[in-house]
Amino acid sequence: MAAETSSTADANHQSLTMAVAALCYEAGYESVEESVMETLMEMLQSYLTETGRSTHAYCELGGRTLPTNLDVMSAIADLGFTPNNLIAYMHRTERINLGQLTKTNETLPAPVLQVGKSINFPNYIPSTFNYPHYPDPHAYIRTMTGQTPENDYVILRERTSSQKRDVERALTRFVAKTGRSLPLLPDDKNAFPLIAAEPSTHPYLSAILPSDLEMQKLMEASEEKDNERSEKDLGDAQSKQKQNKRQRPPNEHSGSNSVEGQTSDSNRVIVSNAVNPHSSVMHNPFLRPVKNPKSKRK
Amino acid sequence: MNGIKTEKNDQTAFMKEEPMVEEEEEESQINVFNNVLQQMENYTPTIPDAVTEHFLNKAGVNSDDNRVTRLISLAAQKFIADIVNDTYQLSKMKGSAQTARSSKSKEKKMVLTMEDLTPVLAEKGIKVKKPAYYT
Repeated sequence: MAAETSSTADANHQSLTMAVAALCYEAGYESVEESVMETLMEMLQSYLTETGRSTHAYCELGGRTLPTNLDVMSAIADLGFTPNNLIAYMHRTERINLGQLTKTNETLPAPVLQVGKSINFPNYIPSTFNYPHYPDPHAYIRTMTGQTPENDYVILRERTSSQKRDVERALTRFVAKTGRSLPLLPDDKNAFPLIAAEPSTHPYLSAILPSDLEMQKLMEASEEKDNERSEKDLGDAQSKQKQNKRQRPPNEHSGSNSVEGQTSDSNRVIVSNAVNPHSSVMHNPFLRPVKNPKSKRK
Repeated sequence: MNGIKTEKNDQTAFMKEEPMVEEEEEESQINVFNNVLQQMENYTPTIPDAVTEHFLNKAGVNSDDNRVTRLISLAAQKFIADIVNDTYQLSKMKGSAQTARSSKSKEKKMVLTMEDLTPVLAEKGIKVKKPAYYT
């Protein structure tokens, strides 16, 4: 509405300016000052408005709605108009005729293509309210992300088994490719690579020495004993811990001495940790051995 | 007695003449307007009809009659034209006073200035005060 009023107001402004300019030209002027033009334009505008208002007033006074000749006459007489030279003015020779303005229909904004029906308002909003409608439903499409989990047992079982097989195959191939490998088929050496078994120098050691899991359990058990003793004797806790630790390395030191060649890396790590029970290590919290929380079964 | 009666008769006759004269003037004016109105069907004033109708609608006048609209626009147009003509006369008087002193020259370009317009409007009762320039 605002744009419409401004554009029509601008159009009327321009037309009036042109009319005033034409009148000045008829009088003999070649140019007009801008402020003069504005003044005359305002005067003309107010004159027209006032004449219209008075005409309407006289017309309504007579109980009519359409103004007549006499209404106009009375109105302009009120404004000080003397119709003496009216006809002479009408038929002046140097009159300029500006073309009549043609009214063009205001172009409505092109209706936005509406796809689908928009959602209705909630029931507590009366339909008489002129709220803008919701946008088209395609403007807020929701596509769910992720997949619905499968519930079928057969499919899931099949998937797990195939996944397991694929993982095993991939891992074995990886180790075979990166390490020593033996080909299964003599023709195609890359089709079925097998991991080459490495013979150990002392095969009986793996049977004698405790496995990683057993080593871990041993460590935990010994640490539990240490924790119990530290709670009982606070004063002698450090010395006894040191004693315990000194007792442990000789046990394992003999084991490590006898082993030459290949031993598992995890054994070496545990041995090296236990071999260095220096006091500096004790003071450095990051180098102390791990203390498991006290188990409840006593 | 006859003389007195005749005097009275003369007086009454004279009295009747004055309103007659006024009525005649009014009638002539009304005739003028009617005449103009009839001529309005073929006459297009300088101000376009659409513009006049817009301002009349603003004031509340819904006029279907073309002639009424044109009559109003003609009256407004004459109003402005009278002012402009008076200004022209004034500026010519001022200009002629100057050119008479200086030298004979052809018609200079006539510019409608605020200085000429202000006294003319003041005569009509419109006081105009506009700033000469914007700062």
